[in-house]
Amino acid sequence: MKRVFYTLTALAALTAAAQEKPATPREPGHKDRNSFNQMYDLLATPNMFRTASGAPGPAYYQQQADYKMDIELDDKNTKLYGTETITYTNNAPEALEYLWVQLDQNENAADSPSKLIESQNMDPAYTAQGFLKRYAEKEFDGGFKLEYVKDAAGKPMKYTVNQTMMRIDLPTPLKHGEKVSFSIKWWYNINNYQIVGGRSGYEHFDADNNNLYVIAQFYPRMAVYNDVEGWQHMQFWGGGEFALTFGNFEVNITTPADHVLDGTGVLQNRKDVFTPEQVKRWELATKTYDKPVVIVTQEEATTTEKGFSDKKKTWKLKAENVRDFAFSSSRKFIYDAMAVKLNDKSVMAISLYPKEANPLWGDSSTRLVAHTLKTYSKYTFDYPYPKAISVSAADQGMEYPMICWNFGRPDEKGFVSDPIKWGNAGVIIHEVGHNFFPMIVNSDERQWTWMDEGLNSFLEYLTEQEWDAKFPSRRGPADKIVPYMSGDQKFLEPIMTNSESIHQFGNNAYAKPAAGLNILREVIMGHDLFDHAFKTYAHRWKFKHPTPEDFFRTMEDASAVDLDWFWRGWFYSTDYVDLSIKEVKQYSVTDVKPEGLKEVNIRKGRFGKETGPFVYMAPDNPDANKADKKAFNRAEVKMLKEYIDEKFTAEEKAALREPKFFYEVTFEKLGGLPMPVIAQLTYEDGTTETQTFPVQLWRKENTTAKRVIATGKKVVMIQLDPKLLTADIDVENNAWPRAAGPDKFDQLKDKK
Amino acid sequence: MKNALRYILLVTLTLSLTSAGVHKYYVAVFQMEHKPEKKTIQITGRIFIDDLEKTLNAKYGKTFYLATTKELPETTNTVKQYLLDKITVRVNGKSAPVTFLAKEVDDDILVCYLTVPAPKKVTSIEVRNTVLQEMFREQQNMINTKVSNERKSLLLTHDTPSGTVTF
Repeated sequence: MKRVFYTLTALAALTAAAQEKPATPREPGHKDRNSFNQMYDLLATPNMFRTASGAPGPAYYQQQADYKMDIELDDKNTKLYGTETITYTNNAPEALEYLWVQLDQNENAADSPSKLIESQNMDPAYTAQGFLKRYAEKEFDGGFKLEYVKDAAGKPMKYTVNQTMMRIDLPTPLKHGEKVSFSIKWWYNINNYQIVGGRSGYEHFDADNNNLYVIAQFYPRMAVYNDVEGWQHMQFWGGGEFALTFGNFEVNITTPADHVLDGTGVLQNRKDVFTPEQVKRWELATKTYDKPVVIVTQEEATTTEKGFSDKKKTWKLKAENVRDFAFSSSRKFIYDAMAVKLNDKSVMAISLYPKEANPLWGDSSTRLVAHTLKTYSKYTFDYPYPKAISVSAADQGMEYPMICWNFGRPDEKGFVSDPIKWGNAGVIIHEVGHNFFPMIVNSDERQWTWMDEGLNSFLEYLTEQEWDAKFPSRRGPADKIVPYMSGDQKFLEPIMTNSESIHQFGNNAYAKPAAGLNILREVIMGHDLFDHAFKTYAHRWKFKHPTPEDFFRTMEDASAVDLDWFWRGWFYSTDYVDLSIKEVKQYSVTDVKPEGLKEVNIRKGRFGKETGPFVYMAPDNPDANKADKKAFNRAEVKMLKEYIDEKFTAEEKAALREPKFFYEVTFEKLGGLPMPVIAQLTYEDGTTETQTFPVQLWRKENTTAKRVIATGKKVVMIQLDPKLLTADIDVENNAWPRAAGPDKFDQLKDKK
Repeated sequence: MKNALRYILLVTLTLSLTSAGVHKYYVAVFQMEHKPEKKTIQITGRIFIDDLEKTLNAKYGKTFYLATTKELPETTNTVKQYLLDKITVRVNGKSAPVTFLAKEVDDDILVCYLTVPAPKKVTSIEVRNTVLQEMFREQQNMINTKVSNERKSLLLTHDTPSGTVTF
């Protein structure tokens, strides 16, 4: 037997050689490469901390860090001094041997390594000032100057600083449920952020010699410890923002007596720091829902900015359940506020701005804050904090709990162009919106920028459109992300990429996730399912620390829409959408058997076969004159007519549809990302009808799919994704027949 | 003058040093499509209006009120001069002069139409595009080319201001 086998094999080999046919190797097998494969390979295994449904599990815990701080702002020397007592509660089941504290200001230290990680080219030219700054002047002496770290008894504690992180060693491990208190004394030189850079610092006004301070990341802050990362102590390189622990704050801030200040939390001593008249105006504002009430007027601010008081005053602020604390202070501030009605409570919308921001800020900033709080509350949960402040700061767009800095002022002649107006409105909505993500839904920005920026950019888009239907939103609509997604793959990373490694931050972490959520809402899930699921995520994770998986899982859990294919494609890969109409064939109905049709195979029952007679679908000759093409009339096909007359009552006959034209449409998937097929049919009479086929049309990893469409009217055009809702990167192949629109360039030439 | 220079330096530094966590981002997109029957490459540039205004303002020392009712009459010509200054193209290794056709406003974006002559067969396009990069160090100019049915793109940055695609 064996011999026979060998002989046969040899013979076969000889034959093959004789014919010189190249031997095609047997194709190897492969692992599952289906786009619809469930994400067991990518998502962490659910556990007692985080469930498979995307909710916090029964053993979910988070740490608590409470702060008591005394801060002094030295305006003359632009220095900030502070002593703080942190009380840290370990709610983790395990004991901690040491604590990690973030020293973000050290990013500005003269020897900060974050200044050494960018690739540089020699600049061909400099201004004198630029040259000196670059090559001759001393570096800005930034970073924390730590005076001490002491325990509750006042004894020095052992600590080690590694760049922007400080480890404090505990004499005995901190067990589950235990608290530890310790104090840190520090100071630092405040950076002029227009020169040194940074998300906080001061802006200097040459004309009146005043500073406008926006102060944040200004105190040593507890790093997050949790079930996912352990200590989140990835260094602050400047890109990935913050991971912070919730806690309560009591902060006393001493400033020059003529400053106006506001910050995170509730002001405890309004009567000590504002004039009686201003206190009265504030009280009026708390009852005024239709327009801002000016509390510190432009006249008052203009007077104040001229004096430089040597006296001091102290502002006392208290904040509960916040992840951070920030404040803003200046002699230049105009201050206005209005009340915002939410379901069962009122909160305050506030703006602080110098006279240089008017006209513009007085008209719109506080109204925008109020609109943002209402709109975001509608899509998530009622804004839980007592207030939200928008501060005018040059070139900034940065968010902290209850307070944010926003760019956009009139030009030096007081003119507000549309780009300035929209840019300012957009940044206010965006930064106030950050109160929801990540201030309250406290995701880890150091690791995943998109979790707050993407979700926030999505809600920013909805809020902008509700503010003004003509709002030129830069991010959100699916078609706006096409230039990015069709770009060179060398410069694209999946959204699920660490914040520091992204080439195009704005596109990757803001615009693409926002566009993805819009596609889910507009195309894949629909408003009701999406809005409910999104709200569920917000509710489940408010005042908690969610991960990407918690978001992905909740969106499915609350909607019963399988989205693994979407997360895989849109978030974990750089695949793009490119669907096209490959071919459209038209058919006529006839009872004459077409030439070339050999046999009809229609099953009868389980084992039998139909013998006819049949109606035949005859493909139209594509060359035939289309004008001659006749609509199908079932009365003209004898065999059908007889059948109907015999079997159907008049009533049943009347209920039958009367298709007249028959098409077989071939769709092609050229991109790696599947997408529902939205096909708009345009009929001869100009009317349209849209047929949508679910994304599961592509579930077998097929690259083409055919659908048969029967219509009552003649189809003159089929257009895929007519409203540009799917981020299809090539829309030229979306139409049948391929419509070459008028060439814009020819029109422009003709105009010339 | 001193103040203007100082302003330019300040803005440039700010925008280069303020890290990317802020809201704004700096990207312009240039679509370049070869039309063999017309022997041209059509360029459609999409540039944020506010960034272009700031840049022109600093370069020419005046406010153009770009895309507003107060736009200065010479603005189109200035935009043309600016773009021709900042964009150079070589097709099949040979320098190809850029012609500016028109500009249009689309929301907050200025759409600019430009052309360069090109033979029927294009094998390479070299682009140098430094639009806005003197003002915003992190400005990225995306060049998306289409020749026949092949698409290739470049991402031009301050440190890599030019590149070549071959077909």
